Amino acid sequence: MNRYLEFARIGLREGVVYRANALASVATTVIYLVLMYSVWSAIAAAGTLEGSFSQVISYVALGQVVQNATSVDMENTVGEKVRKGTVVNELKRPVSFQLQMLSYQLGGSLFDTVARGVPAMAIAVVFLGVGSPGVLGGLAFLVSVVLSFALVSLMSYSLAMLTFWTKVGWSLNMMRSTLTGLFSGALFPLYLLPDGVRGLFYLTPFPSLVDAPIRIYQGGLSGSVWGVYGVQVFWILFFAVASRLMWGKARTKLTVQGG
Amino acid sequence: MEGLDLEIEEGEIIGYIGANGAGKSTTVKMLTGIMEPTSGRIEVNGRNPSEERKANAMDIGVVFGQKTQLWWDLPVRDSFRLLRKIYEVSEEEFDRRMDEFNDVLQLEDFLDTPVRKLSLGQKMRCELAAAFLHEPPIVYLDEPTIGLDVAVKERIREFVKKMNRERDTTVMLTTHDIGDIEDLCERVVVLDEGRKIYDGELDALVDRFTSRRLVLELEGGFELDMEGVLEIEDTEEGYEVVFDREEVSAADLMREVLEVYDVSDFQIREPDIESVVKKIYNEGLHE
Repeated sequence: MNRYLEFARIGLREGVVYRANALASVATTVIYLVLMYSVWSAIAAAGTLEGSFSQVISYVALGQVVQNATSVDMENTVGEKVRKGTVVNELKRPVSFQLQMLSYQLGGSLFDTVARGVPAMAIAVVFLGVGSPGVLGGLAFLVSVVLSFALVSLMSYSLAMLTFWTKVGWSLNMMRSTLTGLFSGALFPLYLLPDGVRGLFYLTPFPSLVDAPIRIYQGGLSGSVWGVYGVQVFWILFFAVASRLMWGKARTKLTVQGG
Repeated sequence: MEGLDLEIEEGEIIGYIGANGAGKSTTVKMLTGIMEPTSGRIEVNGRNPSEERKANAMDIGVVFGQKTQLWWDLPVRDSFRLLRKIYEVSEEEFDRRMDEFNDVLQLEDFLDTPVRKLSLGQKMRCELAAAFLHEPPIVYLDEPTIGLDVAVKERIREFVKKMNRERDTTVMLTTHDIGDIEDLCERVVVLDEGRKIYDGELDALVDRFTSRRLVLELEGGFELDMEGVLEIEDTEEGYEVVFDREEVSAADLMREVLEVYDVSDFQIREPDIESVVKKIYNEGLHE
């Protein structure tokens, strides 16, 4: 355990080194939210918006908070190691490859949560009128964000296993980002979708990433918090098993680049 | 790899050489448990390294010379700290060993410098210290001196020698550097296209595989057609006759030459390891 905490520590230390990155993401978030505000204002002005404008904006803003707090890119981290062959360094150590990578990621994300998630939340509350969910609601939201982080990490790690075949991670990462944007609620509130389509979206793991914590925050759950957690946990277990199986395959595929 | 049969004794330093792509690194990756052989059996300290990768990893130190394990953007100190924790070295032990390593490797001046700002030689010195930090009984060094200047190379060799002498560390060294082999290894294993083609003392290798050279200074042209003469080169120092001493002795050769030519000076060149290694790297050793 102690060993893996060290990897988290390294991840955190590196996050601090790259702190300018966090600043850039906060700036991106601001621009994105200004854009979203304009688009949804226009839709609301045209009178075609179902439900209240403020609920939509609050959803979109919280989506940015969740995404900033759970930003994970294992595809590129692992892909670079595979491509350059430095993955031998992770494998020569007396520690599990998966836990090394995940705890390293956890450290980096801790930094992101503070340096990107917190400013995004401040913007959401101060400028976009996102209201307080109360203490219990806030805690329930945080738990869901933690589950979302576990899910996105395992999802990203599972995809990262494919880099043992593809040798590059950015295309896999791009694919995941696109699917996440579309299905998770990061681009538009899922509750606006017609029932049938929404039902299909909820069959994928993506709503557990963004939509789930937002719904808990907005309290539109009427006591079904446990149900939301349940679905999140189901997908976490699903990807935990998938990543183990894929790692088994990747190990046998392992041909280390560069002699 | 094909039919490789290799046994290394405790406390040995063996040189593992061969051309690029001969299978040196692949062997190291199999011994560390990173790769699994398709057939055959590997045992390191009584363990199968790919089945017990983590247990095996506690007993070994590895330097992959072209693949740094140090964290690029952090001070070296952070990388050492991580290693100390994962190999469960106590803080006092760690300080004592770092002090000892400092004597030869002189790391203390740049322990707080981010790795990206270190020179190649500084990084490699850190890599060496990292591999020996947990005092493993076995160390694999895969091209630990590649691209380094003479002074750093010497420092690294001195360090390896010291560890071997004082801790009886078994070392397997793959290298393209002739000086490393000459300085460190009594035993040499030569690999070619995945097969072992030589395993024995370094001196015997040189003896067995190199042809001798006779350099002649004389006026005018020179030609010689004799059994055992492999090649004649016109060099600045004179004509260089390369011959196979199994087939013709230097004495017979000289007699033949002196009969026909007016030789003003001559010398016989002893074979050196460099030419053996060059030969191995260029064409493999085909007996």
